[in-house]
Amino acid sequence: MAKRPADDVLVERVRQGDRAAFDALVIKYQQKIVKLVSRYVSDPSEALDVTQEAFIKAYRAMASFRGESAFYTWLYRIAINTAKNHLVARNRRPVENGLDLQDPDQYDMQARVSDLDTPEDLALTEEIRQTVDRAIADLPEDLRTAIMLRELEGMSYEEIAEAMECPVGTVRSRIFRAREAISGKLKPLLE
Amino acid sequence: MTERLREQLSALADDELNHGEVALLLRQYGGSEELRGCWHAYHVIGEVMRRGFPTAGAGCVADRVRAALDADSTIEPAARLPVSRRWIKVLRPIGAAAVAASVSLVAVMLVRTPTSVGSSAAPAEVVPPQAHAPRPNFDYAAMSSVRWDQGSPTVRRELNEYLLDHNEDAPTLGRQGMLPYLHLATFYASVPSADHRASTRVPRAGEGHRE
Repeated sequence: MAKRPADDVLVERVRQGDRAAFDALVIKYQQKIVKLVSRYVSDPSEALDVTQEAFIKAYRAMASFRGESAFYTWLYRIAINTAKNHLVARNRRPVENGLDLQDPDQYDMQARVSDLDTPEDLALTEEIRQTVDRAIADLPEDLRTAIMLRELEGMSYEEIAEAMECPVGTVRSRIFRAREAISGKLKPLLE
Repeated sequence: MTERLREQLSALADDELNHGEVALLLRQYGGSEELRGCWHAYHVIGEVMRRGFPTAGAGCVADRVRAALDADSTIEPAARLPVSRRWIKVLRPIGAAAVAASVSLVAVMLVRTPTSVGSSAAPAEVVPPQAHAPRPNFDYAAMSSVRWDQGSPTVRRELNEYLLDHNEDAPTLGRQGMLPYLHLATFYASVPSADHRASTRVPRAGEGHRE
């Protein structure tokens, strides 16, 4: 059966009333949207409120998403508008950041440590980063190569299989085992 | 939670899961906190590897959104219309088309009424057509009203010829029904001209139309 981008499949499921599919989309994009919103709304608590509101707006407006742009681009615009409306309602100006927030790709390239992060959050973020780096370094070479080709180079399983001269099923298994090994060390920090 | 489900989740994160597997996976995912935790961890790993900096506080957003949706049952994706409204939306244009078609059908039936009068009568003798073959085995003259002398072999032959010509040519000219033919046939049946058919025959496509 055909493979389609996960977002397309999840959006289709949401439109059929599948809440779990929407939850998967929220988890997938919550990091990016929180960072984006925090460019407008400096207060951490308010930024989380606005992010939540943006996701609920997206859920309600799912019928208007025609798939002409990527789901994330559409979600990104909703988040920006929600943040702007939030500021207008409170008669405030957005946080100055010098980024072109109208372009999701450019924003992702430039996004770094969020203004939202408290010192504790920054410390935790750094710990997460070091934990992942160490876990990757500890991986067997075939697992490390597979996950790096996927996450860093953005290669498909088929391309990785060709590069590593192994079946696609093996690639899928290697990437999964790499993630399992890393998340085993990471999960205590995420809970 | 089986390893297979987590492996499917990993493939889904990479857009590499077959469409058919997604529905089954999501059914399990919806009820499993552990699967949600895996999905979250897989995305954080990707984020860190691409040198993004995960926002530690962002992990609670999904929980908050889920709680908000659970708490307010009125929040529904707009795509989910109630079943009855969905059917109304689909059936409305079909209903309009059906009404229009019914009106058209009634109009056509009314136009065809003159030829249907007497249609239950037994067919009279069929006069074989002379010029055109093959012809359907109908005696049209016997089916029409009695405005001419049906006993005359000449009239009957002419009627058959007119009707057969009409049936052959009407579709290409967009003419429907028998009414136009009846006027012509009635008129010329009373004029014993030797060669009137040539001037009254319904023109074939491309010949031009002569009235």
